[in-house]
Amino acid sequence: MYPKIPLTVNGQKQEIEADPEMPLLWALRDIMDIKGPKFGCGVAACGACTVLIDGEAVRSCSQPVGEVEGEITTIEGISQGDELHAVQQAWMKHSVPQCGYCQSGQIMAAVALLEENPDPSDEDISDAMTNLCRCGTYPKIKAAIKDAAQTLGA
Amino acid sequence: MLKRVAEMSGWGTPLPAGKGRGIAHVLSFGTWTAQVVQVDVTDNTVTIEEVWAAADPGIVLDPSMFKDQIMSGINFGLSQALGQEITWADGQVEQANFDTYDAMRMYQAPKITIELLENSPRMGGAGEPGTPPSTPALANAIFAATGKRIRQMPLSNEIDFI
Repeated sequence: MYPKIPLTVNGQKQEIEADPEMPLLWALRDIMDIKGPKFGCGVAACGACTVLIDGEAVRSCSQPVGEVEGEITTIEGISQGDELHAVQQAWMKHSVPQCGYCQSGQIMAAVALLEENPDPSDEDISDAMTNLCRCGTYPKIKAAIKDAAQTLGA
Repeated sequence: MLKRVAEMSGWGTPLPAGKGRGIAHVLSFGTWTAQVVQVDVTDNTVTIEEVWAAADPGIVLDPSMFKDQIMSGINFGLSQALGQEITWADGQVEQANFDTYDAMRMYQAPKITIELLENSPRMGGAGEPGTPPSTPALANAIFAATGKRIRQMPLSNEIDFI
């Protein structure tokens, strides 16, 4: 029997039964059926699994679920009802994704960046956005983040 | 196409010491593609600053998506130069994941400008034509900046990149 682990995910409190060593990504995808965070590398190298824990970007593939302290937000939890988050809207406006696999992680990393730094420079964006995009959409990611920063600051 | 990419990039105009431009072109999947890469080499470390590309696939159905595909092709190609190498030991490939086989990251990504021409009589592809000229143009740019010819991939075995 596994212990019960209390979690708050996208504003909802719940308890799951899981091995505390299980990566948070597995718990989200396989137990809670939240499929926005993606498995890319499993070693925290790519960022496709990025979620927020108390607003900070975390690579959930390498985060034991039993050690999570704080509220978890996945890409499913950043919109307000039908109103998409400004970062999501900017992503659509700039048509950022190509294959799309890394993009929920990229968006979550961008949300975390703009929470901490509402008006990032090119260099700030390059420093903060360490997620891998094998399609090389970086120029569009950068443009969308700047656009979202303007929208959020307006 | 070569004329256009030369105009776009200011080909032939002088650059400060430590910077260089390189050019390369190809007919790939039915699309003529030419690229100019500009690098800065400071303390023996290469920064890929900017890339200009002109592509002629004939009729373009969706210019925005076509440019995106060329942009991706460029960054995919440059990723190979930055360090992608498959090696074998004991009958196995040694690279298994992104920690040992990385690709370009945001901080390495150049500014990219793309223009499309529609002169070719036959429609060409969008997905891969951006890739093949990127690394030869980069190697030529490194030669222009440093006088050093690198003839094997990945270029990172012989010179450092940021």
